[in-house]
Amino acid sequence: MMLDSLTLLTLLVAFATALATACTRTGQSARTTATVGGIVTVGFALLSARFGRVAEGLGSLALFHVEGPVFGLDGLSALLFPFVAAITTAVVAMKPTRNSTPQRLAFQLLTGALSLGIVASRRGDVLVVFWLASAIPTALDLRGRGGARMFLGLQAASAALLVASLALASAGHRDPESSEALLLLAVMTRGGMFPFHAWVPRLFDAAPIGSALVFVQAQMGSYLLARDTVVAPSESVLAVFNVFAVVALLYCAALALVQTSARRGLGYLAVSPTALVLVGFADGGQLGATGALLVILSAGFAQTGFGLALEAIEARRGAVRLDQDGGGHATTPALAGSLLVLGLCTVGLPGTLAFVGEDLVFNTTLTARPLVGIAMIAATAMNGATVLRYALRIFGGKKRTNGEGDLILRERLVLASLGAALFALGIFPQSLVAAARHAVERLPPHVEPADRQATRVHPERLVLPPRAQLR
Amino acid sequence: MLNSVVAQFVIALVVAMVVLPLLAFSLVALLQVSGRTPKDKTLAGLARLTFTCASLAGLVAGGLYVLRGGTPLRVAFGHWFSLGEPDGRHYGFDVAVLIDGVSLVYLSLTAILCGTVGAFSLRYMQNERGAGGFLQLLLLFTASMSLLTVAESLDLLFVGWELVGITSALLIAFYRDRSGPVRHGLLAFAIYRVCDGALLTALIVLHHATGSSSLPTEVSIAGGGSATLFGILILVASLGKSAQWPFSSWLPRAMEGPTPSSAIMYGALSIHAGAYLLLRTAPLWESSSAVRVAVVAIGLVSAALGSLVGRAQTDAKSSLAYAAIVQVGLIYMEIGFGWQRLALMHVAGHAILRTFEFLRAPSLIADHQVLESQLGNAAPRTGALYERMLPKKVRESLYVLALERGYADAVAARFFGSARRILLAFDRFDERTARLFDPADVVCRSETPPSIVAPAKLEESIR
Repeated sequence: MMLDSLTLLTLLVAFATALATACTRTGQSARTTATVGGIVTVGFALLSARFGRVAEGLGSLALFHVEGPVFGLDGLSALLFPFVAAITTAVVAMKPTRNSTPQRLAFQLLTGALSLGIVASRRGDVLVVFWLASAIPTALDLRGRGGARMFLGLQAASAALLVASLALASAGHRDPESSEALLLLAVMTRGGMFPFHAWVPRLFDAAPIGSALVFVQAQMGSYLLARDTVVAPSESVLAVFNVFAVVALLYCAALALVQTSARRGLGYLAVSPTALVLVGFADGGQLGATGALLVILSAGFAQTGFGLALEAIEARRGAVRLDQDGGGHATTPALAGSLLVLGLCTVGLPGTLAFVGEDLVFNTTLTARPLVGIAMIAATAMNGATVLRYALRIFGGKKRTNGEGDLILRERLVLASLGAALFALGIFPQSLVAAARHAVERLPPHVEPADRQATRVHPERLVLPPRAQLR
Repeated sequence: MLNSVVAQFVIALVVAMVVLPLLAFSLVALLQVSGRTPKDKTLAGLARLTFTCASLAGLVAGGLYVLRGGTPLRVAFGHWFSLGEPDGRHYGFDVAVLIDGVSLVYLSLTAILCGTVGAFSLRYMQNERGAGGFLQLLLLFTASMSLLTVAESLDLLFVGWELVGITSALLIAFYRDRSGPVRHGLLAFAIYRVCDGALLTALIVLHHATGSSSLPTEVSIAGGGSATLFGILILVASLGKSAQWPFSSWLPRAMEGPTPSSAIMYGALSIHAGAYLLLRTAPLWESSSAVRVAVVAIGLVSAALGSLVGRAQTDAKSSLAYAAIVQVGLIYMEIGFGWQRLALMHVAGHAILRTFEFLRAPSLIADHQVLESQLGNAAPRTGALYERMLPKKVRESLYVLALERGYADAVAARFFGSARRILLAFDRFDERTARLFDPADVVCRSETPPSIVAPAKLEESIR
């Protein structure tokens, strides 16, 4: 019983941390509270991922189905639960004092807690509530900065699409592909994929970097895609969205390469993982799906680290531009090194988790859809050039004379932890690969559309059996 | 029994050649992360020890390999990661080494030249700011090049290949206080990435043609589309690192890096990595005559253009860069004609001579003065006789062509300039779309402080 409640307990700790942080008076005490609470949340999340699973299979996404637990973890969500908690903690722990207002930190923690709620939800209606609510703190953070209306509008549209999709599925609609198409549209909107991508660079441009990172790098769009794909893949629908994924990959990689604003470039770079994940799942095989899951984790950690390094630079220099040399490599070598290494981690540096994930996805995609695979390789090549451009332009050129300091201990610890996670899981990936493989084991084989009607998983069959039967 | 023990010893030495520099690099990186960056003197000591051990290991391994008769050695260390599919298929990333004649030549070159250049750098770079970082990159390069050389599979070779590319770009941009090296490092890396894409695609093609990514020592794809496709992809992949046409433009620009890195990368090892890739994979594509013709043609164009452009260069390192392009072009032609042993000998001779020339380049004026005083005349200019045989108009056109470096830069600048303008137009479109929803909003980043803040205040704001 105690173990069953671990997931709920983790969620409560996450929300309590946000509340406690909001109640603090100074920025420093807010950050201390947020960091300690975040670390405790990560600990609980790891425990619930290890011991608190309610089932090995995947949960139902049916609306208003009252049977079964509201919250719980399975193989898939157990992978992402500690990941979301860790990203949120890294963001709040890294926050410069200047920007550490209790309200802002509380908003970021709240976004993280609500994302944890999405991952832990076992029912469609609960998931939708968390899905919409998780956008609200970020939208509040965006107020008066630009882009709030578009951001909230698109997130609301995403939630509406999700509701429509789940309602169609719950009602046993004759045409299951409509439901899946709506769900994929919801995923694309949330993941900022072409043609719904404009809000992502805008968010990174206007919002505090930490808020944008918590919202985007939690990869909730990719998570829902993984969950949907594992439950009910549809080749024809996925093939259409595959095209959009390829366009998103190439378009955003090309635009990231020519940006002059580091923040906008970061926004375009952030779209790539969702598109890669969609491409990975589109093949329908376990190899690609496993790779896609690893891409979610590696991209989340690496891009968060890269974004946080950029935030640290902004705290020292102000807005960072890429059309002029920033200088300062000699005076801030650790900061320059962090930006470079974490940037390279985002594009599959050998020896990191990103390399493992991309290797699996590339292998699958180049086999099944060679043109898509070549587009992926082209996009990854462009992203590689982009991150090196960041590292060399921001710290290259003239010497800086404003006496900016290198990374302080707290920043060093956060960035080193993210880097260590990426390298450790990249050098010894087998256990994580096995866990990801286990999470996608229930992926059904592809079937012809005509046969799909017969083999379609109906909502009543999606509902988990009572917990007692699972023991 | 003795043969087996010797073989195991050779493998251990080869592994040590990869692992020792990697360990030294990782140790320094860990110290840097923990905030205890070692002093340059300590780092130089560590580098000296590592280069000595790695070089000795490489040389002893080479010697023992020859003594035991030159039989190829192939040893698997298991999977880095693996995955089984329900249909019985299995995907695994194998970690294995292959030592044969080709890898032995490169391994010996890596051992000798990395050790030599490492020793040279300890003195040459000792008062340079950032010398520690340079030695660190040199350690990573040694490990990566050794890995690339002994990799038994194209998977593992790709890992070494990528790391060689990254270290190369970072060494070109080593003098970050100047904007030129930074831009040129970026250019080199962008070209590498384009060519790496071809290698990645070739890897998958190989996987599907042969069922594994192992590199064979005998012909294993018998002609047909797969061999041609694989060969063309490998050829494209090799062009970036070897600076062959049409990807030559980065090499003269790479000369802005420190002289020892120019010597080891663009005189000795990195520039011959493309030839290594072709030699290593030759059994997989040599049955395709289309690929062989393409390899010869690329080599010929590169050699001709490199020779022409090199004659119009006004600085020593650029001339050497173009001379290296010419020689590698000739090596490509030899590989295309199937003269692989000749190509290997050419690689070894060229690498050693060019390294010497690069290391002597800073003393070129003194050397030239000594030469001319010994001759009692101005040193003769090679090829002047042939130049005079050409009509004046042709000579002038060729001179302009050489000055413009074959117009490759102008064409690339025009193409990428147009592409950039189009992409920026798309970006503006995205921005305008966003503003449709929030017309009154002006992006405001109150988080960011003004660009110049008093140091004390700045520190306070970060803490």
